[in-house]
Amino acid sequence: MKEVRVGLGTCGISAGGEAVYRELKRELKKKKLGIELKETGCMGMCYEEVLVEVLDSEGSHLYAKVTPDRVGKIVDEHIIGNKPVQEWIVRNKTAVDEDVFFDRQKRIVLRNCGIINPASIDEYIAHDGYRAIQKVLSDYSPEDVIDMFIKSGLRGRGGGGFPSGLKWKFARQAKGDKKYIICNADEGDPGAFMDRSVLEGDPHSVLEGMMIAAYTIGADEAYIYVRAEYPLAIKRLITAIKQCEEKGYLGKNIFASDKNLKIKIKEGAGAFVCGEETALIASIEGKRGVPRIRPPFPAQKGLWENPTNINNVETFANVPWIVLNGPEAFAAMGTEKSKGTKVFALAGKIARSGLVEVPMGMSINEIVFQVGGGIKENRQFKAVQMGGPSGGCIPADMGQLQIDYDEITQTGAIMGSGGLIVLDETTCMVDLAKFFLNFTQNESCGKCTFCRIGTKRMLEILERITAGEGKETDIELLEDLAHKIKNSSLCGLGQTAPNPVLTTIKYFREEYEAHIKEKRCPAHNCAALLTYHVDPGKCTGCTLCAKKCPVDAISGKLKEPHTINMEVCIKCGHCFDACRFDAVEKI
Amino acid sequence: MDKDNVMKINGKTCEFEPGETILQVATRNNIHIPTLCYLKGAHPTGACRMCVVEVKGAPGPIAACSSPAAKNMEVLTDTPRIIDARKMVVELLLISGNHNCAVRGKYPQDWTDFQQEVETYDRADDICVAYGTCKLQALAYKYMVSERRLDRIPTRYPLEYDDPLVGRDFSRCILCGRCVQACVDVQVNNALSHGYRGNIAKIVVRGDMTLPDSDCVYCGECIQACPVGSLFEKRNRFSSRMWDITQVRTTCYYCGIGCQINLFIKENEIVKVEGVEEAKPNSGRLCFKGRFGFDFIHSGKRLTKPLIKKKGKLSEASWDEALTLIAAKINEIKDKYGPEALGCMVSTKNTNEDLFQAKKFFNNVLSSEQVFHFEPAGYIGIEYEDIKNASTIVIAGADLNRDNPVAASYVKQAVLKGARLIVVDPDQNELSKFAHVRLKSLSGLEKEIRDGTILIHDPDFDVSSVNGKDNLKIYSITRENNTNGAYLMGITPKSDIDLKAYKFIYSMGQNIKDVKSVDFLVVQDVFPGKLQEKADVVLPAAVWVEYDGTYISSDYRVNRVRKAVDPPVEAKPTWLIFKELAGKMGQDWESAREKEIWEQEIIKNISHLEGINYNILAENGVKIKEIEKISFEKTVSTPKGFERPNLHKILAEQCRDLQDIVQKRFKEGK
Ligand SMILES: Cc1cc2nc3c(=O)[nH]c(=O)nc-3n(C[C@H](O)[C@H](O)[C@H](O)COP(=O)(O)O)c2cc1C
Ligand code: SF4
Ligand code: SF4
Ligand code: SF4
Ligand code: FES
Repeated sequence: MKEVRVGLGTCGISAGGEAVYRELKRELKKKKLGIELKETGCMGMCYEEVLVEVLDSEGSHLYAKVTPDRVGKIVDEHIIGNKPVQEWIVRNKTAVDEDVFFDRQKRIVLRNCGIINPASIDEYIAHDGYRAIQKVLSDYSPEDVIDMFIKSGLRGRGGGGFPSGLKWKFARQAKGDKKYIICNADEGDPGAFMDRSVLEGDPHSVLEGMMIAAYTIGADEAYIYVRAEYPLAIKRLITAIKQCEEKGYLGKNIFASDKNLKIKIKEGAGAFVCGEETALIASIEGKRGVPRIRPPFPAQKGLWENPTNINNVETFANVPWIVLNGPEAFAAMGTEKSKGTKVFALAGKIARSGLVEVPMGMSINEIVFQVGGGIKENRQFKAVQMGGPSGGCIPADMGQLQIDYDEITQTGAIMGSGGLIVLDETTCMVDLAKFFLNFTQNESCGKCTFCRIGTKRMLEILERITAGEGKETDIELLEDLAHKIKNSSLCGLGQTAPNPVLTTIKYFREEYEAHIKEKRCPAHNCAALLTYHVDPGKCTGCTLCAKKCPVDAISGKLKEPHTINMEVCIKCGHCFDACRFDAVEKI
Repeated sequence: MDKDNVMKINGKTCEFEPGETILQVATRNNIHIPTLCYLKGAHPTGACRMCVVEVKGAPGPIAACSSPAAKNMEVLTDTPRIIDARKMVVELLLISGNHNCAVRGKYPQDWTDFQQEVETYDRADDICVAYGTCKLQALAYKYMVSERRLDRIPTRYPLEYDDPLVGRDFSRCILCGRCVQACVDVQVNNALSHGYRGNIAKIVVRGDMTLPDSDCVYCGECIQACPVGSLFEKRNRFSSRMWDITQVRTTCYYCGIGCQINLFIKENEIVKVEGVEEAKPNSGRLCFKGRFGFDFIHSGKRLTKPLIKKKGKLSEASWDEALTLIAAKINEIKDKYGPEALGCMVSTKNTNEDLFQAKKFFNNVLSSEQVFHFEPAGYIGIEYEDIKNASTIVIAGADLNRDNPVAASYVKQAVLKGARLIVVDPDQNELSKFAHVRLKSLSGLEKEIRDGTILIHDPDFDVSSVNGKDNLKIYSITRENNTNGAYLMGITPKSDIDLKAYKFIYSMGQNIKDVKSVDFLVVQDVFPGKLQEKADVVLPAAVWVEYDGTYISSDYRVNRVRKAVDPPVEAKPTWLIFKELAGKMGQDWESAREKEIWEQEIIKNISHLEGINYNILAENGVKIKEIEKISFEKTVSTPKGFERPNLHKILAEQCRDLQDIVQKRFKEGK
């Protein structure tokens, strides 16, 4: 009996997955094959979308980059003819091509993603779903659960890395009849999509994690704060909650116990700062989403002044696995203080970008070169940027560093929620810092002085440096501003906003100096500091560049070396891209 | 000493109460921590970061205004690192807008550039209104922040100047949020809010409109809260600088609350009023009337000379002439009709000293008991700020938002804190917006009363049906500022008198509908008025900022009023008019000043006031003794022919220049 799965997370859909799905459905129906066709969530290899997995007696065959016109051949040859189309397969028993991508991974959070149909509660149940909550309800006291999670070493995956068991303990101990659980699915880091993939691919695991947390702290109401830009995730959550209510898993007397739990969805308006827990709570309360001072922490006074426990999506998704497999199994993975796995959204100049889940303790080099398949176009690995706009960069020569909360913090970066951008020698570090600071500066809520005014000023300094107008004192000024903003801002946004600048200054100071003193961008990236130049030795006089130049800055006769008039050149780079002989150089 | 509640600040051991912030503990121990956004009485927001301090063991600086004190905490308030951080706060705020008061211009040659810069960016090229009183400027001076390492941020939002009273200069706003707190947390008028985000953030009124189109009620709390020159009163904008001004502490005269105010005086003129932050009952807050309603004092239309009716026409006369005539007429009428035909209708706006003199004159000189008014007394048995702790508040007929806005603010704050609000007779009562329950009459009230319930009723609203309930405390606020003072001076309402029995009436600006039966009418007033046309003598009176005295407010607190400006030309305080009149009648009263009347006569004769001399009243008011023993009239009916003043009409007249606003706010005549 065969089964066909199509990855229809947002990544799959945007690569054209729905058309492939429709084509497959049509083909299978037309040919009356009676084979089960399933939609699943993201399978992780986003760089190979659309992914179609065919399960047969030999096991799994993963087809990559499937388009509707490839469907016919797959159906005819593989499904009917039992001969897998080997040239399109990236992973099966015989094709080991992409094996390291999966083999070095350890899937706990993503255990069901890409495997089950996220819209089916029965499939989730068939994959051990809702066993953990039932076990907890029948066998464990809340204190037992707290002990279990303290023992597991699970730390919050939303960025802060606070031990989850301890957090639950505080919320459990807080006085109050009414308590809340909140799932933070605001995921505001640019380029991050870990939480989205989990919600789209396996919403029930998050709900189950929330149920266990609710039982533990004594909450009977919960919210999922999910950004409105995630319509598919919201749709999947609505379906999942409805299914749970129908089965009596949510509502009154859940699982026939004496506990009640209601889970509501709150759509976030999309401000990055609303991911900060106090701002998020204000937003659920219908107020302006602005952080407030802590203490009191949400565990004491959270939603509507009641004790509230707030965790990230990925944190919750870990929870059922830990209950079923035991805290020891979880703690067996990772380093001394960072246990389990971490999901990363690999992006940037890497061969295989996508969603990966690796055990803690893996080195950055392993992620980049083994899981990620190395740098694109065989360029040089320069650094990774971890933790999005709140994080920082870690240079390639520190690639031995392990994935571990505290080791990463030591470098000036942060683990963050899982954004991991790989950079090569064409990335300008000043420009990178500028990119992130521009983001945070725009997303500042504007409440406190340092963040509102300070980040804006830092951005302007970076702008003038990349424009070739930097002053000798600028690095010092940046550092002074950065340290104070970091130390004295009100919330995590301001406190971490300078990280990209501080780490790039720390590890790539000479690049800043080159911009300022030599008016040169070593990565040949900052337009204002570039000049384009034709190497007469390489130029064949094909005239292509002159045709592409929008301002007619290039002159030269056919079959004779061309020249660029720098007075006229607007540095758009079209000639550089156009030349087939590498004759145009950036200097 | 409870060891759990001890911490160290700068090495000094300090005790604290659980829940107190580091700033509160430090302030109590005379350790100064600079603040900008912290607004006393509102929940700290921690926005400005000026108050950072170092706490041992904490990774970074901590905002003292918003961090709770903790056991064994060790705080250092002025380490080099902290000073450095504060300097940066000031530096960032200075470059964030048009802070052109020169504190940041270090190089003289920059001045012209700087001025030009200001002109191009701001459309507001003047020196800041707050120069000299600005908290940011003071901090820049204190921390010697004059560097110009960073460029100034161009101003994004233009000056808003189309409101009749308030100017809003966004180029100077430091977004401390105090105005929003003052409006939302303190006055609970909910007109101001934070708008936009990040570095384009702005303080907005609903939908970013202008003030006149907003829910603003012109309490002016935001202006007082603004630490810089961003919010200001337009009328004193170019007329007065802080060094021109002397401040005089006094008591508001508009309603029975008795708010404490500071008058800002420049050259014999009031230019501004502020609430006194540290004083009960208002803790700094004021209402529209208290803050803006003083223009009438300097109006050119005031009565300045005595007038005597000659040949059916009022014409100017000297005081001597006028008083001699009054004395003669009094003797004549007394001889003919007996002393009880001589009546005096007082205004309970007058000071205790005024009223005491009037009473003394009629009782002792004329042997007449006919001194009266028609105002019910009031009684507030708790501090206003304790209204916030009530479990349930019942408002019966009292339109506090309109008549006693400062009391309304406490009620609204209580609601924010979780109190239930019940409004009886809710039509037209703006507080019903906040009400949980609305009742047509008191009859359904019974089941709503629980422990800690207070009822505040309009002085004219009959609450006798619920009187005597154990768990219900009944309070009311007098319509006029010194009605309770009048009671204590022995002047009580007379409900059963007959207008026709009086042949001589001395009216303190009080209207009488039909005076045909009165042989001789004296009207003392501030402005020309209708009744004066029928008067035989008109006397120009001084108003409350023009002489010294005392009031007794509804919470039975004796408050001082003080002379701040001179009365116009020949206007005289009421107490002095009676002293001189007594002289004309052959009695030489010894007390020649307000203080003497109060200390030699009043507090010696009235046991409730014993010992409360001017010295004791030098700063804050003092509650009178044995309040429970005072009985007062709860309901008063006005006899035929007499009339009680229409306060809203008077207010509208007094605030002539502000009339549009007054009409909008008080729906005059309703
Ligand atoms: C500016 C800012 C943005 C944040 N955004 C997110 C977010 O998008 N998702 C998230 O889970 N946590 C976010 N956090 C962290 C939350 O405040 C909170 O620590 C987290 O949700 C707790 O969950 P955890 O213990 O499971 O990590 C953000 C924090 C800051 C300061
Ligand atoms: S640090 Fe930034 S985002 Fe956080 S409260 Fe301050 S201004 Fe708002
Ligand atoms: S207007 Fe004044 S009080 Fe309001 S935020 Fe601006 S500076 Fe602060
Ligand atoms: S509430 Fe009353 S006493 Fe206070 S300022 Fe207003 S009118 Fe004056
Ligand atoms: S006074 Fe404490 S942060 Fe502003």
